[in-house]
Amino acid sequence: MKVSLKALGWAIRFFWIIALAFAVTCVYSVTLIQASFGEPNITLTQRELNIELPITFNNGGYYALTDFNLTSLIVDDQKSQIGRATSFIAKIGPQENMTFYQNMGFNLTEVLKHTRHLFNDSSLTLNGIGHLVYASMIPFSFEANITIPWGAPLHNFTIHELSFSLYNTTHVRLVVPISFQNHSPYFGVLGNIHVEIVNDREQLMGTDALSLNVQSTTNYVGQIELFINTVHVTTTGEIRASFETNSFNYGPLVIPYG
Amino acid sequence: MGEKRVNGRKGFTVKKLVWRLLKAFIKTVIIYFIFETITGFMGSFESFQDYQMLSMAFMVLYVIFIFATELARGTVFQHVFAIANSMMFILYFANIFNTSAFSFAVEQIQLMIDLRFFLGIFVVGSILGLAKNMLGFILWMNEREEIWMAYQIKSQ
Repeated sequence: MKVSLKALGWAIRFFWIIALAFAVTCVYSVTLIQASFGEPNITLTQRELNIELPITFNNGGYYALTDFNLTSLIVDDQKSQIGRATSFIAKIGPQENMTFYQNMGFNLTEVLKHTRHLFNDSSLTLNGIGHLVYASMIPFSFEANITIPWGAPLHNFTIHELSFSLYNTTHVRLVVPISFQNHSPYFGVLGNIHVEIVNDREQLMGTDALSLNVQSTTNYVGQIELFINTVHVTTTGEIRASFETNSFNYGPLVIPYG
Repeated sequence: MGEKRVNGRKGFTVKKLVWRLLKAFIKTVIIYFIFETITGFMGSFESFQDYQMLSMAFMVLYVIFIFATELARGTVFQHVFAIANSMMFILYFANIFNTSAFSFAVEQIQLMIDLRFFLGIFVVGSILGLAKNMLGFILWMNEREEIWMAYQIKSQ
């Protein structure tokens, strides 16, 4: 009994030495893991905005990272989900450096159906959530956020004061000055703006279209010229502007005048 | 050169007492070093900070048990203290890993680690320690009984 008790005592001592050594090396190894997010590469194809995010994992520890599952979510300032992507890496071995690209594509039409994204600058948040198993035994997870600036393509869209001038005895010349700033760093506004002027009797006074080619981060100043029958002219009414561009369709935007 | 006896107990000398105190002190230093290393690292976990006081209390109790066990060596109290110490270990680990997941931030990345595996290892180690101490207690009782029986036979 005495011998077996001594043997058990030594077995327990070894058990604790191994357990502590494993715990200490595990904990130390975790501190040697480095993860970094590179600059996101943002491209526009058709009506889809693609974000390619390089993620570098430098496993400087002694144990492998396995079953690495990474989910990326893009949410806007009001926490609405815009895009989602997932990646899976089976194993990142010890002393291994790995860079992989998380590709996320989201439909601009989906984003721009929220009118606040058309007219107001804001920011999108790229939320990366990763789960993995460390040393084949310890579940590990991490979360990181990156803010991506969102520039409104029709920022500060304004229809300035209308100017009426007599063209002839039956018609009035109406000038509708329009200005906006394309704050989007990702895409230009290429297409048409269609404007309808409606008087306070809900009669269409005139309509015209203007082609737009506003490159990203540039301002637009233009005007629409209409010739309106004097019978229909009223001092109050509304202007209905619709946009048909390569990246979004929107309208009508109703702006009262007078 | 005879050994000075303490409390009249056979074999319990000042030299032995000093040696036991020295042993307890060395054990305390080793345990304190391990404890400081672990709690120093664990201190970086936000969720562990709630357990700092508990850990300190555990450490103080553990040191008391080390000294008590060493000083009571050869008596029933050695086993009582050792068993109590093992039970305290189990309770401490069960308590400390109750949250199981610890989170901490490295630069802009929030990390979360599930330490249930270590909970398992430490609790198993503590249970093994408890089992060993129980067996030691049984062995001690058995030896005492044998001595008593031998004395009874001899006196008859």
